[in-house]
Amino acid sequence: MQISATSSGIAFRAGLAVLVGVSAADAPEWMHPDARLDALVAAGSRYPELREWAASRGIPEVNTVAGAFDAPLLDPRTPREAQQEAVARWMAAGSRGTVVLPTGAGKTLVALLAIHRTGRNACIVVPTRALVSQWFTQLADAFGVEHVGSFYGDEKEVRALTVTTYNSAFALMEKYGARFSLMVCDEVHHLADSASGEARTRMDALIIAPSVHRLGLTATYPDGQDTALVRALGPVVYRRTIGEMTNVELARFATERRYVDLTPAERARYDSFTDRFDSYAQITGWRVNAISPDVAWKGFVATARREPQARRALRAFYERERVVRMAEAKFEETSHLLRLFPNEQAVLFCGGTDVALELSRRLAIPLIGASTPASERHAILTAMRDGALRVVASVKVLDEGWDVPNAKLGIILGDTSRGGARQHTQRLGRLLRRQGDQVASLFELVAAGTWEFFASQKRGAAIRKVADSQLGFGL
Amino acid sequence: MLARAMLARAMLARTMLARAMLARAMLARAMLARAMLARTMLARAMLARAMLARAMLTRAQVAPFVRVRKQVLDVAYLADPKGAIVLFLDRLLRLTRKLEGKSLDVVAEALRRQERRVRDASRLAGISRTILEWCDFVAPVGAEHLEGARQQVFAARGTMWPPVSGDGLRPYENAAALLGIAPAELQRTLYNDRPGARQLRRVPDADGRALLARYNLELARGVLRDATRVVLQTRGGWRDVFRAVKAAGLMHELVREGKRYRLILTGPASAYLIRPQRYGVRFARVLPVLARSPGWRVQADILHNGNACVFQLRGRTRATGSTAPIGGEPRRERFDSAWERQFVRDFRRSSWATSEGWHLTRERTPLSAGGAVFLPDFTLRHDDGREAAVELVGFWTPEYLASKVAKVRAAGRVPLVLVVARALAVGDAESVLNEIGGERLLWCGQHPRVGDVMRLVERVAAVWRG
Repeated sequence: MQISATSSGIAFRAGLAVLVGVSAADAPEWMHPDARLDALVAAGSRYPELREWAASRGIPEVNTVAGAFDAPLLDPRTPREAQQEAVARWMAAGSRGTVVLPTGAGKTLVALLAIHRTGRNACIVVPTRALVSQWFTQLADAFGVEHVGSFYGDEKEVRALTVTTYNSAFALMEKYGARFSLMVCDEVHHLADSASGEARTRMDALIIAPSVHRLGLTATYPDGQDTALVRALGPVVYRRTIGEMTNVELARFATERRYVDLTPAERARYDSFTDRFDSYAQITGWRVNAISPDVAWKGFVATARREPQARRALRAFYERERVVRMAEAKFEETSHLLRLFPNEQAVLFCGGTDVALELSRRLAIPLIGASTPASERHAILTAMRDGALRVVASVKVLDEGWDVPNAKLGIILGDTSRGGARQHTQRLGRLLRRQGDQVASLFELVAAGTWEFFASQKRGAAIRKVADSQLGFGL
Repeated sequence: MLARAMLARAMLARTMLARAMLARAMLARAMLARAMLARTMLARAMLARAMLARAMLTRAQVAPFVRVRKQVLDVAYLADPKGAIVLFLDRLLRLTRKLEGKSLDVVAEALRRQERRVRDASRLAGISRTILEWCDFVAPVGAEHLEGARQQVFAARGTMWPPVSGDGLRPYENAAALLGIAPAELQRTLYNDRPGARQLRRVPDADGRALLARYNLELARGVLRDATRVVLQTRGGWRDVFRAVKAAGLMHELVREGKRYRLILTGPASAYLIRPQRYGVRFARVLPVLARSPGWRVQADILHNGNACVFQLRGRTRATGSTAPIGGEPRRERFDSAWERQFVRDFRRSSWATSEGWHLTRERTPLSAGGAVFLPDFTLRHDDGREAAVELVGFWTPEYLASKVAKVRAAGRVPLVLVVARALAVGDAESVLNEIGGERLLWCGQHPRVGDVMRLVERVAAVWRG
C-alpha cells in the first residue's frame, strides 16, 4: 500500500487507521499525529468510524476494501428457535455483541447464520488449532471449500472466510485486517479479565481489527470480568441457560474411576523417586516453611536452579510423574475398555506426549498433539466425524471446544493440570453433544497408591460441582 | 540489375538476420538480468528470513539473570575471568559434535545431563538451547513418507477393530511392505517426522569463545522480548539492518547526529495495545542482524514486570577478563556485485584516496524521506566535510530502474550519484533516468572508472546540514 503525502486519503495499515493529507485541526479529535508515517493515526478498530467520516467529505480510501461475501448457505440443518432468535438479536444490536448458549446448543450455526446475513468477508478466531480444523470443515461444508482459508503456524492462506487462533489473530489483523468486515470470536471467555492480565492481551487483535461487525460466542460468559470484552465486542445480546433449554441437546453421562496397579518394577522406581524427593523436603523443610503450597513450590524450583541436591529432588519428582503417566497397566486397561465398547467412537485424553505416542504406536490409532501437521490433523478430525476412525488420542489439543457428536466414550489416562477442575469438565464436555438416547461414558484410569489418587479426587469434586449446577444430567 | 537486386536482397536478409540476432541477444540479456535480479532478491529474502527465524531463549532461561535497579535493567552476562568457562563450552561443543546423526531429543538430553557439572542449571539450559539453535538438524531419511504411512496404518486398524491382544503389528504390515521395511521397524519409527526426531547434521565450526558471545547475545535478545521502543546505532551494515526491520514489520524513524545515525524502532500500533511490548519479539529478531555490523549499540525501553526501565547494550566481540563478550556474529565485507568490489579496490589505489582527501566508506548512508529508506552502495566523504552517496546500477530493467529513481527522488536534496552501466542496460529506460537530472547521473561502459565518478562527486558533494 502506498500513501501519497500530497493528496488526502485514508487507509488501514499495520493495525492503524491512517489519515493523510488532512491537518489535525480538520480531522476527528481521536486521530493523533504520527511522525513515522507523516500522517494522523488511530487504533485500527476506529477505522469504520474514520471511513464514515471520510466518506462524508469525499476523501478516498486507499485500501483494498473488505469484499462482499454472497456465497449461498448450504447447511441443511434448520436453525432452531434459539439460534434464529440469537442472530436476530445480534443483528438488532448493530451486529455487535456476544451470544451465550450452552455446550451442544449450536453456537456454530449461529455464526454461520451471522456470516450469511451480514454478507461480508469474515475472520473467525478460536482458541486452539484443533478448533481451526473443526471450524474450517464446518465453514467449507456450509459455504464451499473455495471460500475458506486458515491462518496459523505454518499454514497461512487468507480467503473470504479465514479461521485463525487467538495467538495468530494479531498478525492476521495487522496484515490483512482490512479484508474482513466481520469478526467472530469463539469461546470468548478466553478474553476475560484476569488477575495476571495474560488473557486480556489477546484483546490486542480486536483493538487493531478494523471489522465493523463483531460476534462473540461462549457457553461460560465471564460475568463481572467483562469490561474490556464489552468494549471490544459489545454486550451480551442473547443468553440461554441449560435450565431454560429443556429437552436440550446434552447427552446423559456416567463417570467411572478405575484403579490400576503399577508393576513391581514400576513400584520400585516410584518408591525410589518418592524417597529421594521426600527426603530432600524433610531435610530442608521447604514444604512447611512457606506461606502457601504455590509459594513453596516456586521457591523449591528456584532453589533447584542453583543447588544440585534440590535439582536431583526435582528430577526425581518429574521421573515419578512419568512412571505414573506411563504405567503399563493403563495401556492394558485402555485396550480392555476399547474392546468392551467396540461400537463407540472414543477419545483418549493423555497426560503427556510420551503417553499419546506410545498409545498410538501400540494400538495403531491416530493422535493429535501440538506438533501434528495441519494436514494430518484435518484428515484425522474429518475421518472421526465421518466415522472412518474409531478412536483418537489427544494430549491437550482436543480438551476444549472440539467435538465429534458420535464420540460417547472418553478415557482419561492422565491430565496436564494435576486434577484441574476446568480441564476435567472441558474434557467431559467433548462427549456431551446429544445423539438420540446415547449415554456418554467417561473413564478415569488412576494408578493406585500414587499421587494420582489425590488428583482424581479433585477431578471428582469438579464433576460433582458441574453436574449439580450447570449440566444437571449426570447419572 | 539482377546482380544488384540479388545483392540488395542478400544485404536485406543479412540486415534482418542481424536484427533478429540482436533482438535475440537483447531478449537473452533481459532474461539474464531478470534472473539475476530475482536471484539476488531471493538470496536477500532468504538471508533475512534465516536471521529472523532464530528461536529465542525461554523466559525461564533469561529471567534469573535480569536485575532492575533505579529503572535501569542489567543483565548478568556470562563472563570468563579465569578461562574455565570457555573450556567447558568447548567441551559442550565437542560433545555435540560426537552426537552428529543422533536425534534432537537425544542431543538435548545429553546436554541436559551436563547439569551435574554446573552450579546454575538455567545457565546450562540457555547455553544448550543456543547450541541447538546454532546446529543444523534435518528430517531422517524417509520421514516424508510417514504421514501417508500413518494414514494407511490407522485405516487398517479401522478394519481390524477392536484391538485384541497380540495383533499390535498387523495394521502395520501393508504400509511397512510398501516402504520396504519390517512392521516392527515402522511401528518404532512411526513418528520420526516430528521435530524432536530430526537428526543432527552439522555443528557450527565455532569455539567456546564464540559460543559464549552468542549466548550473551541471546540473553540480550530475551530481554528485548519486553521492549516497547528500541534505538539502534551502528557504523555500517545498514542495508541488512533495514531489511531486517522491514521483514519484522516494525516502523522506524532515522535521526542523524553528526556522522552517525540513530534508528528508532517502534511497533506500529503499540501505543494503543493492552500489551505494548507485543512487538518485543520482533525487536529481538533484528538484533542478530545488527550484531553483524561494526560498532553496534542498542538502547531499549523495557516493561519489566509492569515497570518501565531502560536497557543498554553494546557489542563486544573480543571481550576478555571479567567483561563478557556479546555478539560474536560473523562479520564479513559483503559486496552485492563484482562491480562494487572492483570499484572499492580501484578507489583505494587512486590518488583521490591517497592525496585528494576523499574517503570511501561502505557505511551505507541511509537516505530517508516520507517513510521510504534508500541505502546507496557507498558514502564518499572529504576532509572538509563534504559528502556524497554513490549507487552503482549493474544489470537492470526499466522497472528496476524506475523503482530506484523513485527512491532517489524521495531522497530529495541529498547529494547522490547514480552510476549506470549502459552496456548492461535492458530496454529503453533513458526517459526514466532523465527524470533525476543529468548532473547526478553517470553512464559508464563495462565498469565504472573511479576518475569519472569522482569528478561528478566533486561537483555535487555538499556539507550535510541536519
